[in-house]
Amino acid sequence: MSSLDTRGATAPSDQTVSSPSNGLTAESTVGDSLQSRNDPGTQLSSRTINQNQGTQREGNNTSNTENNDDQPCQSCGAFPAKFQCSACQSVRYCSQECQAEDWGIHYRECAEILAAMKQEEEQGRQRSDEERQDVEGGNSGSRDRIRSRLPPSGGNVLGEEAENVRAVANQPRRRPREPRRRPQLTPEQRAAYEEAERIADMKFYMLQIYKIIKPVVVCICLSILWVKISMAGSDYRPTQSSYTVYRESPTSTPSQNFLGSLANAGIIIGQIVVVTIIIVILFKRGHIKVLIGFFMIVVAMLLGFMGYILILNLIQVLRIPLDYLTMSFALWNFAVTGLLSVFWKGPMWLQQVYLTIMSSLMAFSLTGLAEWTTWMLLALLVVWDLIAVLCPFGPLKILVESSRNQNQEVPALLYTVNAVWFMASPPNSVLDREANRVKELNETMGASFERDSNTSSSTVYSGGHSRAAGREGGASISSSHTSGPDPMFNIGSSRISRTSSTIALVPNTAAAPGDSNNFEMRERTRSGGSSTSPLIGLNDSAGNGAGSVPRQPPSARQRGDERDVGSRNQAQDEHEEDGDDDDDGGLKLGLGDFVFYSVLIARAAMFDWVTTMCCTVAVLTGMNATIFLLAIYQKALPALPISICFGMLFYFATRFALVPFLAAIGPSQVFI
Amino acid sequence: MTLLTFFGCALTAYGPGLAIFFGCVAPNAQLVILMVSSMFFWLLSLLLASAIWFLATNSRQTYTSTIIYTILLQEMFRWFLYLLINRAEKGLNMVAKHPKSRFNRSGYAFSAGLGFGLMFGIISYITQLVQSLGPGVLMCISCPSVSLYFISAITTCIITLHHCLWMMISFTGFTQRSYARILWVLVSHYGASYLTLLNSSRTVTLGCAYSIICNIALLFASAIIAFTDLRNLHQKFT
Repeated sequence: MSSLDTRGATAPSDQTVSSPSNGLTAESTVGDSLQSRNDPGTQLSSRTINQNQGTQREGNNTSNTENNDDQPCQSCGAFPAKFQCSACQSVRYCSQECQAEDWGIHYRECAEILAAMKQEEEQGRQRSDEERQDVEGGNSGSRDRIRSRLPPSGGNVLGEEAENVRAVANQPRRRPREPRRRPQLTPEQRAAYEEAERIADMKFYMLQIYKIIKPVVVCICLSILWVKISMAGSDYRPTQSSYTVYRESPTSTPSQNFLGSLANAGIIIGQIVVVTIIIVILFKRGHIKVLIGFFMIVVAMLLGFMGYILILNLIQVLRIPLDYLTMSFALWNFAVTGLLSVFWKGPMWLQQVYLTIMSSLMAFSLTGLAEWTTWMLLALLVVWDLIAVLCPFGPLKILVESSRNQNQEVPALLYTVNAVWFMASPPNSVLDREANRVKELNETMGASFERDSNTSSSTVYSGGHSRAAGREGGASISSSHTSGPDPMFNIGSSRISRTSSTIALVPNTAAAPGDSNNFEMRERTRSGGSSTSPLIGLNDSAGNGAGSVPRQPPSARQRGDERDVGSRNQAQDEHEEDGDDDDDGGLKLGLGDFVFYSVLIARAAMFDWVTTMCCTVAVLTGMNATIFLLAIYQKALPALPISICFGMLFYFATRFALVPFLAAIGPSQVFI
Repeated sequence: MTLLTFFGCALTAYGPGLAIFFGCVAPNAQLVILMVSSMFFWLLSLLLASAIWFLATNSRQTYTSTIIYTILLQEMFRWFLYLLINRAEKGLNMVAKHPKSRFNRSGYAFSAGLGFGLMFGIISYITQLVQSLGPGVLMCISCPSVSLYFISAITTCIITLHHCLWMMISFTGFTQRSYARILWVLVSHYGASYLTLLNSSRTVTLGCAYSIICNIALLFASAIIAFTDLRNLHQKFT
């Protein structure tokens, strides 16, 4: 049971480029590819080759010294590689440092190998009898072992080798019944694993921040643009809402302003609170369709009316000659496309574009509020956000919990990094799908349930979730954020209920609602080609989609491809496994956060450019800080407070000190 | 003309900085995050400086004294940023593309410096840039034939690049406790800033040209120091 078996199998796939393989490995490589070429047609020849391999390997097993020299270190390629991954025993390392370094890449393979082994253990028990009938007794053991050790996601497979690996992966894989050696972790190894996990976590969060920063920046820039356009002498600025009771005037005293704006903001906050509570109640009672209808109306109105006002602004400021007919036609198409892509289906980039535009439109509509009211509203929102997310009976917290209990996404407007999940399916269909899922999961990788105690019973999502499984199985140490009982979450709602103001880590929801979509997309891309797949990907390189991550580091893309090929191989007979890999949640930021960040900056944009830029930097820093806190606390956190506090602080500091300062030194061209 | 001036000045001032950003920094998540936080730090230092300026009502128009505490504060925050990065370096290295590369720290220093530089450029030039859209034009006081916007754009660009190099040099200085480097950064920072006083000088003819030329010379000197450090780093281990 040494790692050699896998090494032989992985060699063509994993290290095609630079594998410093000596004679033995090369030989087994040839053997394997031969085997796969011949299979399933000519069983006999392949079997003999396998047989040879098997004996060869077993021979190696007995002599450990030879074994060590045999395989290069997975990370740095050096000899001798004396250590092996104790969980899957398939890769070798020269030192623990190297292992720690490689763990970020290896842990997925590790999880898959483990899952495959478990599964084959199950299947092997059932099928070993029928197997015996066509294969003579003793040979089956060695052959099975070779097959079983194939890591499902081979790696950087190119060209025809991909075919080979797939062909091999297609065959029934079985595992002999001899007990697997339990990994024994020394304290150092344990520390190395913990370290590796920390690295993986860090990478995960870094990339999540990176991916969430882009849409936020775009949304902010759009709001600044709308504000600047509308301020360039347009008659169609958004006006103060009709339900505000107090109207600021230049002559009123600060105390009047304060009290009046407090009243105005109080009214708006009151509406937000009421709507949030209504949504929570509706959700708890399971009236999902009502909620979806409500959100559809809101989105349609936002796109329609605010789009109309914005177009009027554009037409007037840019002096575009346009008749009403054309405009209404364009507007109708714009709004309906948005509605369809957001609530039904559409390319992911389109959904993301619409979400960003919607947020900026919402922020634009809120710039109609008077100045004092805006600041008061933002301050009160911070307080409300803290209460709603962190208090024991905060509505958003309740929403989170009930969503967890009901195994269901809240149909609020979230911007996910990987994809946009809007729709929660109605409970019945979810349940059906869940039932199917459970069944299939039990069939395919039932064994993994035994391992993950917390995933086995209630939470179906995490049961199949290979990130969690990988963490736990691969490292034999309970992992950080996926092992908890579903550390999700997010949601929110506001006045018009698009203000979810929570930042959330959702590692493993989003599976159910998007599952069908996910599958369609994957099927499509499978025929299309690997690197353009919109949804296939691991969590850090997820969203290979053209729209979502335009500038992806090459390594991640490569890994994405690798993963893609891997899942293709695997997916032939078992969709579920890679299905679970793909819809790794990622960070979710409520659109409400987008909106209110943009409101703050749009308000700053109405004053000055310097203030605008300062507030932007402050808000982005606050957001980064929030996500780092999220990484530390591993639970849903309100995303508004830090950013908005920074933003407000910087706004006033800039407005009253920095701008006069710059105005003094600017014209004399002194640079400091 | 105003639109042409606007785009010309914008690209002159921010073109190199943005090109570096999109070419070198943007593909790396951790560098982007580092850059945002260094922008924040620079902003903090400038806000403090402006608060001092706001309180010191008597010396508001004497630029020589304003420059003293502004630059001192910037260097202080550079040091704070160094301390922060020093603490976070392990984490940053873990997620870096080459976790054991010894050039990582230089990379962090460079992107942090770029953050300083870009924020500097934005804060000190964006108002003038918007003014360049019209309707009128301001001329540089010491060189009345060139517009103020263009001179400022060039100066902004140079100092943006300066900030990248200063950060690299001072990080080496802080790490190796080489006071000469820290002193060089401080002196050249003061030098670059005081040189810009020539822009509005009425006594020195063509002051803006001297200012720009001397600044470029300083830039070259800093670049030589930074590249020598990098080469030493390279040779020490090979």
